[in-house]
Amino acid sequence: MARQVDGPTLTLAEIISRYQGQKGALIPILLDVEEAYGYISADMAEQIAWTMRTSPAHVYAVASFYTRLRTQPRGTNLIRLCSGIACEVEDVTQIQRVIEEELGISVGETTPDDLFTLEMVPCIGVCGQSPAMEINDVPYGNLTPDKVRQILARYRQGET
Amino acid sequence: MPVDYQAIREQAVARVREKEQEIRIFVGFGTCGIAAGARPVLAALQDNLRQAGVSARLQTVGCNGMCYQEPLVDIAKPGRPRISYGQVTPQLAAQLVDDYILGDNPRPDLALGVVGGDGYAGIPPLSEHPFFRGQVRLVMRNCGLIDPGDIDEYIARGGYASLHKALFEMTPPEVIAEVRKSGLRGRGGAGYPTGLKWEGCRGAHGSPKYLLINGEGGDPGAYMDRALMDSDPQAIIEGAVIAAYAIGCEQGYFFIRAEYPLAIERVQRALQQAEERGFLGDNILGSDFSFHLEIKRGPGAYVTGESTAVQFVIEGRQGTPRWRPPHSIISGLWAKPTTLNNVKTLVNVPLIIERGGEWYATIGTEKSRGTKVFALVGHVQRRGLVEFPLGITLRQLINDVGGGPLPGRSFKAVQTGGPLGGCLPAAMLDLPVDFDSLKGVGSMMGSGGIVVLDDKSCMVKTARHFLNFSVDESCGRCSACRIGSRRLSEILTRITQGRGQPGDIEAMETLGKLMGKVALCGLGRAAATPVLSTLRHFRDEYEAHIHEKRCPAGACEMSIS
Repeated sequence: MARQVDGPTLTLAEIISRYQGQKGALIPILLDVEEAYGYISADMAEQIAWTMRTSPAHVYAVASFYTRLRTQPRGTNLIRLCSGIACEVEDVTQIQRVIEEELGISVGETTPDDLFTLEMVPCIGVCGQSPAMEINDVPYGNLTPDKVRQILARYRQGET
Repeated sequence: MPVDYQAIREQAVARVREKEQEIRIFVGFGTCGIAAGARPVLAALQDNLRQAGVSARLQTVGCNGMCYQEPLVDIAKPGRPRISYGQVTPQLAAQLVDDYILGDNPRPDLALGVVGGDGYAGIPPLSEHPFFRGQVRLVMRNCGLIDPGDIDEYIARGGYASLHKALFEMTPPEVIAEVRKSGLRGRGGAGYPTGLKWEGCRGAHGSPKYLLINGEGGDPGAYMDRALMDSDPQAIIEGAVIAAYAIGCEQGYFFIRAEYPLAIERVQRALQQAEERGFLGDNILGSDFSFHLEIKRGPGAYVTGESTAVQFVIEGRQGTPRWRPPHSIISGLWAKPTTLNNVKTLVNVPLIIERGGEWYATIGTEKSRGTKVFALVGHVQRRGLVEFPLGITLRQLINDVGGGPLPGRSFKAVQTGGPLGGCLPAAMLDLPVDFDSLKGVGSMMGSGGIVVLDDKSCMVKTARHFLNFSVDESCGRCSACRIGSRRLSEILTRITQGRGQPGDIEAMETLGKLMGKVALCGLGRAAATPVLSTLRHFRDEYEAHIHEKRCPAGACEMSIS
């Protein structure tokens, strides 16, 4: 899900209250916070910890352990380029270079206009169409340099 | 009062028949189909049908495994067979509407085959296509055929008959006995006998007991779990309810990677429909048995496919494996007896109940019964998901099914078993693929990933790729894996840059073998396999890199030439 342009629709308290009384609620809460805010800040981790009567260190430790949970803000469009073996053997490195050139950023960075963040992820399960990537959870396969440029252009023009 | 299954079935069949009165167009809408461009194809079909003023039922279905032909579109006119078309573009979709929907020309020149039947109008059956020939589709029995969002389609094909049979005609020990008789082993990769696991958990002290369904599907290159969840979620749920009945547990969690949003959406919908029809929830089908199932999203860490780590995720902690024993069936989730079954394992269960363990045991080899779904990817002509009896050879998979290497290229190696598996050379292609055979030569079947590498692939670079993966994915709890993977990755990186030194090979062998002995979990113990197997079978490539500063495949950029 792309980050809401006009601010998240749910407050932290609302997200936490969804899981009131449930065992093992921390990870679902963190996933929802990530979806609503795009990342989990140290402040948010602290608030979650207070509400759940646990330590901020525990919350932050869990948040930083998993790839899907981000502890840094990200851009409007999250590009997740697959680095799995099926993509590796189809020269995903070339695709990575094209994206980096087009956006002027490296893996792990966000463009200055906050429009794109680029990440490499271990496998998005589209191995029959490698090399592949996801933008805001929409999968794109059989990527070529030209195809990637076209897709990026569409997102630049406001596709979400 | 037991609910009358026949009545449920007849209603479902009637509803599906009603759909069949219309022209039906099926668009492959698994994650793979969407990635290949199924969305614009669907839109083109909608536009063209509207402009032509034709009413037809457009249905989105899952993936039949023929990934290299995506986007796939099937057309079934009333009273005519269902015809499959591959690599459909929006232009081609418009053409098909003109020629076969408005006209009466099924375009044999464009068709892949006829689905589930004899040939028609010069179009051969799809089952005779080289990609499908010889496949035994048990696990994938419904994939790409039914609408995963409509439980009626699953029921109309016999779905939930086995659950009814298990609940009303069998005791839980009888269900377990049947599964033991079948010889079914865990399809996640470890290959532990499923019936034995259930029996152990059933007999364990403690309550409640939990069932965990593993849809983490984390092995890069092995994407069948995602395809199953995308394409036939009800079959997984039916298997899970039968498992829960056999074990005696009332609460289950369906663990799915958050990276698979479509699978989560489809399983969520399937759970809802199963509950509405009484296949899930309290007093299932009017019996005394109740079972509740909810989705838990995996926040992304390869190691959480490991059986103890997955429990920590659900408990809301870091997913780091722990020492065993105690085994999970004794003390697992919240320290209660817990069974973890892979989605593919569970999909076999309704078939075993329906047709019997003895029937199932006739498929496959003596120690590896049944079929296996393989993800055939990499440098082959036909990529996709295929299902064959265990014991099929690598050569059959790669050459007969996959069509061999791309034109002008030659086969070099096949990588099996995911990031913890190994690479095998051409001389080993006649080995059967089952739970045990590949282990003898330094690889494994694992979850069924088959990645073909051609002559332009460098084996040192491939090993480096997997070790970098293990560096990223090591949970860090034990030093053997955390530090061992990093040291191996560093040495491999040096070698691929032309900075290898005499003694590197020996150092990697010593370290790799040590990790295999002392690491805490399966990931750490197998993390060096990609290095050890390539050293065993492709040692000359390492030597060329180290001693001659040369990459035989020409894939490494050597800084010293």
